[in-house]
Amino acid sequence: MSALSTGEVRGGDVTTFEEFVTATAGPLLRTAVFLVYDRHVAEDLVQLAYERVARRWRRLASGNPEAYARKIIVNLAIDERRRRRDLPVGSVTEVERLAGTASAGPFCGPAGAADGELDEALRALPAKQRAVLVLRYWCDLSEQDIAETLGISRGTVKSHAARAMAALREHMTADKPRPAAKGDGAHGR
Amino acid sequence: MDDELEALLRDHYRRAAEEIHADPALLRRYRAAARPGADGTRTPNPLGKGLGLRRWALPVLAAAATAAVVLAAAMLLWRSPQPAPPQPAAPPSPAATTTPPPAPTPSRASTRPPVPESTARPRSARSSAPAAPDPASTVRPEATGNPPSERPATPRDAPHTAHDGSVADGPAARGIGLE
Repeated sequence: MSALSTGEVRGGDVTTFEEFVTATAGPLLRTAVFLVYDRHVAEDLVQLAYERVARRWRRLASGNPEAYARKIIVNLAIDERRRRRDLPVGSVTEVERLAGTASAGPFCGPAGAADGELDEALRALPAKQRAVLVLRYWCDLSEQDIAETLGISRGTVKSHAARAMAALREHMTADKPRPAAKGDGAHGR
Repeated sequence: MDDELEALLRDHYRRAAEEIHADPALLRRYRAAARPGADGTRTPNPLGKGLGLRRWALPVLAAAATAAVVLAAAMLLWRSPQPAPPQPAAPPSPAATTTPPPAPTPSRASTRPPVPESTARPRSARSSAPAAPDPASTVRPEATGNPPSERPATPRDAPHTAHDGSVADGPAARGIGLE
C-alpha cells in the first residue's frame, strides 16, 4: 500500500520540478510525520529535502527524485531526533514543540485506542529502528532499498527491524490485560 | 505474532496517512522555497552561487598550484640535460688516429699497391702519421690492422714482415725491429 500510497514518482513521470512537488508532497509529508511524529518538524524536513532536490534537479529528473528526497528526509529525521535529544530540557523550542504535539497530535486527528498504544510504542523507538519500520511497512521498501536509504548494511536493517518488532511486541503485550496471570499465580501457589 | 504485528503496523500507517495532507499553502511554500535553480530556468540565488564558487575555489586553486609546480619541475628536469652542450670542437686527439677502419694485414699489403686507405682515412690523421712514429701504433698493433692473435708475436715477426719487404720500410716498423 505504501509504495502505492506514496505514489513513487519516477523522473520520466514528471517534467518539471513543480509537478514533482505537487505529486510527491503528500506522500513525503506522511513519511516525514511517521518518522518524527511532529507535523511542523516534518513540514520543515520536507522543505529541506525539496530544496536539495531542486539544486540537483537536472541530474535527478531522469532518475528517481522521490527516492532521493525520501533518503534526505529519513536521514534528516534521524539527525533531527538526535539534535532534539541534545536540546536542553525546558528550552523554549522544546516546550513549544511538546505543547504543539500534545494539543494537535502528529496526525491532526483523533486516533483509536489501539492506534494510541501503537503510536506511543513507535515514538519510544530509537530513530533508526523507527525509520526501518516506516520504510518497511509504510513505504514498502525491500531490505536492500532500506539499507541503501539509510546507508547501512542489510544485516543491520534486519537487526533494527527485529529489535523494533520485539520492542513493539513487548509494549503491546505489557499494555494488554492479562487474564491468565491470576491462573498462573494460583498454580504458583 | 509478527504477522499480526506487521498487519497492525500497515493498518496503523494507512489510517494515519488519511489524516495527513499537504494543503495548497504548504505546496506553495515548497515550490517557493525550492524555486531558485529549479528546472534551471530561473535565476539561481546569488548567495548560493557565491557559496558554491567559494566551495569550489579552494580545491581548484590547490589543484592548479600543484599542477603548475609539477609542470615546472618536469620542465626543469627535461631541459637540464639539453643545455650541457656536446664538447666543443677540440683538435683531434692522438687517440682519434688510433681508431681507423681496419687496415689490411701485412701479408695482403705485400701483394697490393701501397696505401689505398688514403681515401678511407681523414686527411689530417694521415698527414700526421708519417711525420713521426706514432706511439699508439707501436703500443696497439691492432690499430694498424693486425689481427689480435698476432699481437704477442709482433716484435719478433716484424723482421719477418720486413723480409717480405712491404711494411718493414716504414720508420715505425724499424723502431720495433730495433727493440
